[in-house]
Amino acid sequence: MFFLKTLHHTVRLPPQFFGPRLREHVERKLYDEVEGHIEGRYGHIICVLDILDVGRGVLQPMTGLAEFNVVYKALVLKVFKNMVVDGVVTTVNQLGFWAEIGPLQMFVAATLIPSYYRFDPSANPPAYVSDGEEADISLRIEKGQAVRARIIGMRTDAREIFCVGTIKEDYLGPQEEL
Amino acid sequence: MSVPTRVETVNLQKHFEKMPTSQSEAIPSIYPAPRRLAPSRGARRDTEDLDSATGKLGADFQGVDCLLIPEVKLLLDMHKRRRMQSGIERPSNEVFEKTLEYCSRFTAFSNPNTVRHIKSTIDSSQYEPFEIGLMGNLGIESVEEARSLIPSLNRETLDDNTIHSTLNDLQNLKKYQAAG
Repeated sequence: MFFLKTLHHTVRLPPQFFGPRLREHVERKLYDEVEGHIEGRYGHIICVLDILDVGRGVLQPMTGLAEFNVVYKALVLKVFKNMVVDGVVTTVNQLGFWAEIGPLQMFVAATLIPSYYRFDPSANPPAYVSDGEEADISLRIEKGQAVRARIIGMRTDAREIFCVGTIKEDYLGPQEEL
Repeated sequence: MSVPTRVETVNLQKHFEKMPTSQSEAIPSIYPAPRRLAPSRGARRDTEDLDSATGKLGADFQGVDCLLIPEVKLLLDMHKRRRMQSGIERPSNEVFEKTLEYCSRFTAFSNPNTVRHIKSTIDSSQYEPFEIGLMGNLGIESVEEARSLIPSLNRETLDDNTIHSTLNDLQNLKKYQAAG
């Protein structure tokens, strides 16, 4: 889910940038260090919308770097356990399938896919196909398909957030396009 | 020298603990204190309790207004345009592009004027902000579906009629929006 948050970040600027365009350098450094990165508490920081305050630089003793405590408004993407999300399938194999929720990776294991979906390795691209009376052209999980899943677990590392999802529940699974 | 016995090691440890530390503390550190690098145990436990099924989003997000996907799309489009005009060069941002792509695909409303009115049309007094967000984003059609997909709606104070009218409002907005 997307939120607008006011966050702050400490930018350390080397002395070579002290000069007439100081503020511009601080802003650029902030974009470099923050945009597209992950902050454990806030999830993905997608973009900086507005810089509210750059603050007064404080020189650090010993290094000569100036520290600016920048306050900015950012768009963040954060997911929670047990939340239902829409994603786009990227990879399908016999272990399950991967989906993307914007910048977020989600894996749905084969055991968390309802049993009436069967993996069809000979299809191109590989797909999970539902059989039985519910056989319908739309009930295929293949690359590019929109799926709705519930997030049951998350793991955050420095560069990416991985989620594990399930579609073994009512109203979850492949969706028609809006 | 022989290897120190266990008793000796313990004694050594005690000795080091007693050593005055004021000297090392006197030097101002230019690095953030270690506690800032690793979250405290209490903070970590906090994040484990977050659960949207019970409506617990943690202190940072509880009650914070969340954005619907169409709103995010408008915001990102606007931001992209402004960034091109401003001339400040920003590094290519994969996360930004992916988000924009995702929002373009799952947006239910195409008309900017409609998007602006979604929040004001819906009576949100009965809901947590994130529940409104989920209902808007997922395009839910029935009360049953809403209760199943958003478990936190299953509280006693919320009856079917309230949810039904909210879902109706959302669907009407979608149905009668002008072509964008």
